Amino acid sequence: MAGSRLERFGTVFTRVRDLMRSGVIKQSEKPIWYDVYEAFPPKRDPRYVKPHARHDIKKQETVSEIFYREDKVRARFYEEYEAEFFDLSKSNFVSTCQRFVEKYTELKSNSEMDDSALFTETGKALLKEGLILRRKEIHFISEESRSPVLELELTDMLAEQQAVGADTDTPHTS
Amino acid sequence: MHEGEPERLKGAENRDTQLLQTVEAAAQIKEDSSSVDSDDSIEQEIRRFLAEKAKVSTADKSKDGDVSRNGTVLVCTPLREEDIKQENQLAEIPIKSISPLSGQCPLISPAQDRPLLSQSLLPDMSTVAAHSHLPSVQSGSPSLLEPADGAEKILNEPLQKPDFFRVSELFSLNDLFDARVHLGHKKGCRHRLMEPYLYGCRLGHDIIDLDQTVEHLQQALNFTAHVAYRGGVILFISRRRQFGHLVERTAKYCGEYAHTRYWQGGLLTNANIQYDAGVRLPDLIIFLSTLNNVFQQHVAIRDAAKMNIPTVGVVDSNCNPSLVTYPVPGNDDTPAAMELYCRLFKMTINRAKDKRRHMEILQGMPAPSTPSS
Repeated sequence: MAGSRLERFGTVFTRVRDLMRSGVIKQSEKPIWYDVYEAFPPKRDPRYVKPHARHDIKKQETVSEIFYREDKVRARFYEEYEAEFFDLSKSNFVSTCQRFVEKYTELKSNSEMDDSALFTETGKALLKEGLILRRKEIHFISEESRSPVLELELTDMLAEQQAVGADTDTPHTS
Repeated sequence: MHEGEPERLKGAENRDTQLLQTVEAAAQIKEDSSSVDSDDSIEQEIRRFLAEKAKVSTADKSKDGDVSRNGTVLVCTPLREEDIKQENQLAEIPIKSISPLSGQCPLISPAQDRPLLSQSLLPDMSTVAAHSHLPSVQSGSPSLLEPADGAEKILNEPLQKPDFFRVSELFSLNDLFDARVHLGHKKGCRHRLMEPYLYGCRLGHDIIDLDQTVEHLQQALNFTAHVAYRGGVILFISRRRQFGHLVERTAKYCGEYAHTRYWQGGLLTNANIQYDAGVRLPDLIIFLSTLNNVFQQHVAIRDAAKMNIPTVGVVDSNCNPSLVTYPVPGNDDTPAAMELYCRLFKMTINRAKDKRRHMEILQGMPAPSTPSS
């Protein structure tokens, strides 16, 4: 059967249409899909698009980032409190973070406090509702906090040595 | 060997079997008449048989009664020669005149019935095609002959309405969202040409615009339905091993075909050699994932464009949608999304085929005895 194998020129439809116009493909050999395509063409012509060889064209960010106003609240929430689990199998699942955000927006619309006060207010409100939020424990590794630990170790070692020293005379009975 | 009319024909076929290497009985008649050494007596017998059949069918149906009777004798010969010439050029095995032998569809006349033939053949063809590759020259519109109104109406009526098969009621935007169709790949994997279809990028993850997906999916399903309605061969392709079985099952349920294994280079472009000489290529290819296992575009997309086969494809945010005729931007990695697509395609194809059967019954054409789906 006659055909045109040039996939980079025109679309499937234009090639078949032109072949029919020129008589290479007879009306009786018209493909099944031809009439359907004519009646319902796609949104975009399926033409071949040459790939851009050069990448030094300045990249236009055509796809925008998606951010919401509630993201600010979410960010603060995750700084303060520990993240809870998400159950993705349920489509209507509301996580603790989401509840927090909802409460926050509710309070914000009702009262006129500033952000940090609102934040603590929402925490209290959620506690009242029975939602326990665990505060995030931040472990500092600083000199001040390490020294008591070190001290304890040193005293232990000293105590051990003294014990050993005392034990050298008497036999070990452990 | 030459007792009754039908048997005479069968005898003729048997004799010519060694000359022709066709599988189908019906095809042999045409080849018979097309070969230079054909016996005149056989031709006359065939014509007599067809004329008899025509008289029988005109007694049953009142549709094109008088005209057909006139046409039987006169138009028959020149038309068949035309067919012969065409088919020689095509180098395909034609099956235009299967119907007299198949005995299932009464013919009005071979001349007039070329449109009817192809249409009434379709249900038969679908059963046979399931088992062997059969070529068929489908006539979209009976322009050469006096149009058999029934057949033309069957073909043209669905094209008038924008959503004849009501595919838009098969799914909703919420369904797409629940099936995670909107989730794309990460920003770094994004294909430049997919940017118009993206809603945005949430913390590095591309989100596909479901409003556009709904429109594209409707168009794709509509096209699939129309092609299935006209008896087109549909091929499902997906090289994702995770969904190979699902795709094959879907194809089996629709009565169509699937290819989820390694794609050898010339399956479409070199089909005449890799398969039989007169292979019928698919009329529509549905890609449930346009990438192969090394994240490159599947060869079949380019090959289908080469062979002038329209394609419907689910394109993810890392795919190239430019050569796909009806792209559907959507997630192709999540099982939920894949199951949704398979279910939608399955339902549209079955719906379209059922509709076809109903239309044929309404028009008074014979319903096929064994529908393929």
